[in-house]
Amino acid sequence: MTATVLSPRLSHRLRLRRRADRWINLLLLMPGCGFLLLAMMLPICQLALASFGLFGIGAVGQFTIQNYAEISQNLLFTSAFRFSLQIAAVTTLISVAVATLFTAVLQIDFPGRRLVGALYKVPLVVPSLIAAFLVLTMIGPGGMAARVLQPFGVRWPSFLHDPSGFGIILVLLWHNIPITILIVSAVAAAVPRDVIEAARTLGANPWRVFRRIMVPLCAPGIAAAALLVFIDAFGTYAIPSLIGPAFPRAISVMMTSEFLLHANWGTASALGVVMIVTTALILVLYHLLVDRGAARPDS
Amino acid sequence: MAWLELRSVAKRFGVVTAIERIDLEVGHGEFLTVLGASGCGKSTTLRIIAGLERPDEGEVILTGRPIQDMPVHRREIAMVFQSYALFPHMTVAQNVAFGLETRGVPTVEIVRRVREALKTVELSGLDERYPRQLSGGQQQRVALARALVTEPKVLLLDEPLSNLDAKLRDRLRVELRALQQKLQVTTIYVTHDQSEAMSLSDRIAFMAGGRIVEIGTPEEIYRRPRARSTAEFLGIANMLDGKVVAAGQGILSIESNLGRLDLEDAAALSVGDDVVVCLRPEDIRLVVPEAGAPNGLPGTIRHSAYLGSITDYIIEPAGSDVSLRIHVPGPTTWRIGDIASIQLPRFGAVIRRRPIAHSVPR
Repeated sequence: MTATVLSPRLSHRLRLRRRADRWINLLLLMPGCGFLLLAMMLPICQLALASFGLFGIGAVGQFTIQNYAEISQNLLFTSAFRFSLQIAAVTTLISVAVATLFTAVLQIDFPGRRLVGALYKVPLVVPSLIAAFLVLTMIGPGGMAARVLQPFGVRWPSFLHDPSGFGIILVLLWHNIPITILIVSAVAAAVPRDVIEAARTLGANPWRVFRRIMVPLCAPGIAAAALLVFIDAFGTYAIPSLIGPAFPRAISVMMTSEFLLHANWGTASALGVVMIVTTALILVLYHLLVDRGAARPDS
Repeated sequence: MAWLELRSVAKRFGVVTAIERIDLEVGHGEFLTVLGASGCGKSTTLRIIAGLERPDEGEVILTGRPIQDMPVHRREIAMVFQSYALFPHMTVAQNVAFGLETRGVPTVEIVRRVREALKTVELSGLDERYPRQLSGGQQQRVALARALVTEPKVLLLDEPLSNLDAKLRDRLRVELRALQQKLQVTTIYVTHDQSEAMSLSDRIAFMAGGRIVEIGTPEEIYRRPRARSTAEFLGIANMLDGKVVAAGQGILSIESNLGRLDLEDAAALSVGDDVVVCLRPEDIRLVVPEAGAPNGLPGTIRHSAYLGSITDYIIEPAGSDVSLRIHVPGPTTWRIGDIASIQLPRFGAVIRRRPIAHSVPR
């Protein structure tokens, strides 16, 4: 409308100005978007291409699905995938359950609450590698627990290098439970006091308040915490490589050995892609759950 | 026998005394309002009755049984909060059903009672809405329905109307009173709004500084307050210092700084008592100056404000340093600077002045 009123020369200048604006906008977006592009998309693309035998170091430079065929058929890789998934799932479930109950307990005013509220944060400042060493010295074979029980003729089960992944889960829990508590208790603190008190005056005992009020209102926070724990546990490397069993091995451990020991970049890349896709699927699942929960009251 | 009773209940928060040994009796089906400024301890009193706070001293007795050690969820005392405190993740119907579910009422009966309760508060048809899809007034009704559906022994209301606009507040006030009368539920209502207290209550307990200053019907509290703080909190009060100079034949003569007042004798006072006379602005009249009228004295209009149904004047009586607030029905007839004759009423609350103020907030 305005262009028809303006003279042709003026409208031309306006068009030029608009084009310049677009470039300035793009330029201003560069630091942020450029970083995303360079630091995130590029390596992921490189990884994906290498997994198909393209542009990879030492690859044939020809499209192939050989790497995927290899990791889907070789028991070493399939068991690694299952092992990591299992560790991540168990760690997530236990972390979330313990953290939610712990948060509920922290709502009650009992003597020593502040001390407990401070103590649970200790593992946050201790690197989980140190926790892995704790497992070695405390409950490993020849560890403190085993030595204390030995005179009584009790054989201490080995949690070190055990194929069930119990030791790994223990260390992951040590690190992830406090993080989960931190997130869940922050969400719990945002639940209005009045709402809880209203439920109490309507005859709900503390357990019912927890189940019917606290848990549903904290669900988005619990889901977010579960997501973080799962991603962390699924990709964990240091702990399984230190105290994990020789078989099955965690997927990240497999990947590293393919890279570093066998220089098998194609297989390692394919494993990496599988890890990313798995985590991405979990992320999508999380969004589906949370968005549906959030959208429900408006329907 | 009182339905609910507080016996010398006290509560401190650290060094701050919230409630100082209060006694209170509420009859069955009674609507009692606890009135007071913020921080006077009225909400704490309510929370102690609900069980959300533990009293440091004293007893709470419900139908003859001490309940101060009983957990909140066993008391059968429902509470409506200022924020309504609806459960955001539940529908209206689920909110109202909550209290019935906790009591193990069969599902069929829950459905029936929820429908009935929503009908009572005129919210039929909104069962499946979520709280955030409702207006403030509707949310308020859901909160009320949720509390009433459980048929509580006592209904507690903590400033339930203060988040609503003036018109809606006025309407809900009328509805709330009608509902309470119909259901005959013992109700304790906390507010800082004196007109709310006046229009709703059977009795008002006025609180200040963690004590109950006095309890009485709205009329008693307004017309015959026994404490200066009560008189001042409930509406506009003209306070005149004076001394009783004669008493007898139902007439109390008081020498005040506006001259001699002859008032109908209601308080038990004797000659020589130091008193404060409380005159309500609507009891004082302004007339065209005329000699010989009783209690009449000339005064100058200093301020006038037209409020619609009344005109609010501030008038300065001649030869005096006090000023009086006077409400005259109808439009403004006096202008600033006019000389009018003030007709002091033959009725006024006479409050004995105590050596130590009764209700100084600590």
